[in-house]
Amino acid sequence: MHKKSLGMKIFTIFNYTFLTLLALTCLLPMINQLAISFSSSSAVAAGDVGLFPVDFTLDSYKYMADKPEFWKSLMVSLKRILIAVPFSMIICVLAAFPLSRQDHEFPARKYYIWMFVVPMLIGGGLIPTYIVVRNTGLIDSIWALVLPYTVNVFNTILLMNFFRSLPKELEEAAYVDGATHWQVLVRIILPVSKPVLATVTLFVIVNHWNSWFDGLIYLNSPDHYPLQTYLQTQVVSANLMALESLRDIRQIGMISDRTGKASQIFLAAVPVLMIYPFLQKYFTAGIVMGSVKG
Amino acid sequence: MKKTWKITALATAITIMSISVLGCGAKDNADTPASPAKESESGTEKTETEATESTESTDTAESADSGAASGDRVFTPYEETVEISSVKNLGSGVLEFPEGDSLEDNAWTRYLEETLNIKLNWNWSTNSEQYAQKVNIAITSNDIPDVMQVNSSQLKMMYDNEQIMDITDVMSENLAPYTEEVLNSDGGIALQAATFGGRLYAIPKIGSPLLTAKVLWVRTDWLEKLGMEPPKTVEDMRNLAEAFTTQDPDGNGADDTYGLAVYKDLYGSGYADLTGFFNAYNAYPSCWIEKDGGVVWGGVQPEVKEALTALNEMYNAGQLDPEFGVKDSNKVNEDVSAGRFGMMFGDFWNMAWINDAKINDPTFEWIPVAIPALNAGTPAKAQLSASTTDFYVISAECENPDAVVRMLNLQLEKSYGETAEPTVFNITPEGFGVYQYPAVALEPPMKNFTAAQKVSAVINGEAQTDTLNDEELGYYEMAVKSLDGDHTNNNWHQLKMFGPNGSLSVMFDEYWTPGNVVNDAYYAAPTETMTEKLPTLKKQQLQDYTSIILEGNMDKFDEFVINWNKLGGEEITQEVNDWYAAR
Repeated sequence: MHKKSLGMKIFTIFNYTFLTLLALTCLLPMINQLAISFSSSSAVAAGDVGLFPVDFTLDSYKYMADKPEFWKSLMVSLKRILIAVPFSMIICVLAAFPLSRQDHEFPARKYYIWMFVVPMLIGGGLIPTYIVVRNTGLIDSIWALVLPYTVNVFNTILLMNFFRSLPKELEEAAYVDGATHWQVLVRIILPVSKPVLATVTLFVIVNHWNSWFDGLIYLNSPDHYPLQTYLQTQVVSANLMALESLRDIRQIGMISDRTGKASQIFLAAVPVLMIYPFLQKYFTAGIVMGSVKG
Repeated sequence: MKKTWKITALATAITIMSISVLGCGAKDNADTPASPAKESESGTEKTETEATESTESTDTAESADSGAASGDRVFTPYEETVEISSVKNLGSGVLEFPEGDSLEDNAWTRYLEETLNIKLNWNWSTNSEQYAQKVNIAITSNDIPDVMQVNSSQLKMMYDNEQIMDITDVMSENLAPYTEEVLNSDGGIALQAATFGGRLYAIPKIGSPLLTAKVLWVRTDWLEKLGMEPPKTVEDMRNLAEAFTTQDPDGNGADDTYGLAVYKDLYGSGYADLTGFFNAYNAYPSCWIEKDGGVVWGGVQPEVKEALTALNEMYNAGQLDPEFGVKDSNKVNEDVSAGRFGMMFGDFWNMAWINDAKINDPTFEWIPVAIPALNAGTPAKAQLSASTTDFYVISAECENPDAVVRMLNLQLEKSYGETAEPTVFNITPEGFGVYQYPAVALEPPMKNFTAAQKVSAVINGEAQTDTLNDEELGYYEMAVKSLDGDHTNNNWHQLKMFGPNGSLSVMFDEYWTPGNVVNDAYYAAPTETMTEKLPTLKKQQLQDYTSIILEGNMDKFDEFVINWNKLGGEEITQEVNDWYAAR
């Protein structure tokens, strides 16, 4: 680290430039949307808004504030996460713990792992999944959004690998003292697994927060849509070719409502943006250690 | 599977007969294509039913009589409550209801229950953008409601899957005269699109082909500044494009204006759409046209070459945005709003997108004019596309298909017929769009043009406001506000559509009345080769057109025509001509 060769310097400069550009491609669209949401609609329609608001106004946020559909769907999303996170975490941890045992403790472990991995790689497909959800009577309930995603194999493997990477001596000591498997899991393993638990929790939250397609196909009415499904209905522009009457054309006016859309997109991103910093410190540790094969 | 289905069909037929004599004979042809034997069978059954009718006339008196009197096809109630399940396309925005009402309980559902004793159950509802996806899932998982709105490819799929009912007889026995009139108002083209093997399988949600015609929008504040007239001929238009590009019409001293707005896919979006430009050169790039007793694809005709030559000249002269190849219509709209374009071809509603720019700068002004003529004296013909894109299908397992038709009769009658109550069933005085609530709904295709004429007449002082119905009154009030300088809430846009010399009037007076239109000559369901190969051919067409405009290599057009024929175009043309001859 004392002396850098010329090549190394160029490499570093290149690296920083590249990463900065990469970061900008993520950041600039967000800033642009934020600026649009604070601008007047005529400035937006004329394409004048770049990174700073033009004709600063809070109109679109005022409009949002009394838009009941937005808040209703926000509540659905929150409810979904409140149910899904404990459900998913408990089940994934309970699956990962036995799978993290040594082969001699759990001889059939290999086969069980395949049972998890194969469906992760080869899914059931849209229609069969839909039929299962329909025939189990979950259609149009919040459980249709939660139950099909409860066992997330990727998260389970992350947990399993993290558990395997823990020093054997910890749990062996506990077993010697007469602890049961449950006690080992709850008292020994979980307290030292905070990084990976935080990471997996974050994944579960973000997955549930961002998924929209399941809300669309499993729920029967837009009143029950979670936030992202609702946003999708707002942001995707109507198919102009399918217009068959002047009445629909009134709704074309709404396409120019880009400020309103931008404010909704931004508000929807805020919760996840707020959670991230708190879980950040665990995040890297969790995902790196979890990925090391034990 | 097949057997159960037949038993169900039989049971259904019996049920229908017992509930309403009108429903009989609905199912008997459902699973086989029409054949003379079948026809006569159904004929016998009809006679039998008529016999039953007379014997049972005591308890089904009302419905039995209704076969004759047309009014009864609209208002006669069922003896027992009939339940119909459906799904709802809520439109693009949020469907709003008056206080206390909902999709399940509103003016229409209550009226249906009171008048016809039909109870409507919604299986699910969603917005337009997602509707097709949910319908696809419903079709694939065979989760089909009694009646459902589908698009033409879904209709074909359901027909192939035997999921929908042959409604030929149900329709002929239950259709009210007014409904029939509306359904045939385009000369039966829409009904033809829902017919397979001579039998009707869906009710077309009939649209107005005329609404797909394009107009030329011209910026009049620029015209005045340069002391020029709106274009009547192609030559005028070319001169104007030149002037708008070179004479600094916005007076800012910079060379930043273009003559004509174009977007990356050239035609099809309805905004900055070159269809109108091609039409001016008697070219019809995206439809089938009649020529020499047969049908040909408009996109490969020599007239297109002339239009492309003209576009290439305009491109070289800087009259088109050099970056049009990467701008979609929304992007072009930004430029139009920012005042960079003086002309654009497009749909009648185009001002909706630039209404904000009008609010910002009240001197910003546009008028619609008819597509300019290539030779003065012979007006251009506007291309009309198939406007019926959606259909109502009745599930093969529906027990009361007649109830669906009766719902439709009632909807049309109470919305637009002689006994219509527009304030209750169309748009309430508070502005709730009640017309969006029914499960099956049609509207008379020429309705908007009539409205434009009536509104214009009142604005011109030729008629009084009491000649307008409530819907028209709404348009009138908005147009008048715009005339008084309040352009907000799309007032200006309404003025540009419904007002005097608005886009709808231009289309009606310049295209429809003198018959200056070219209909898409093929209007049946897409043939097999069409579904397979036409999308690729259309993409190729777009690519080649674009490169010809940019490079000006006219030999490339002849090459394109040869390739087009080789890559399936010839085959499709043959199929279309076979259909055309057999029609």
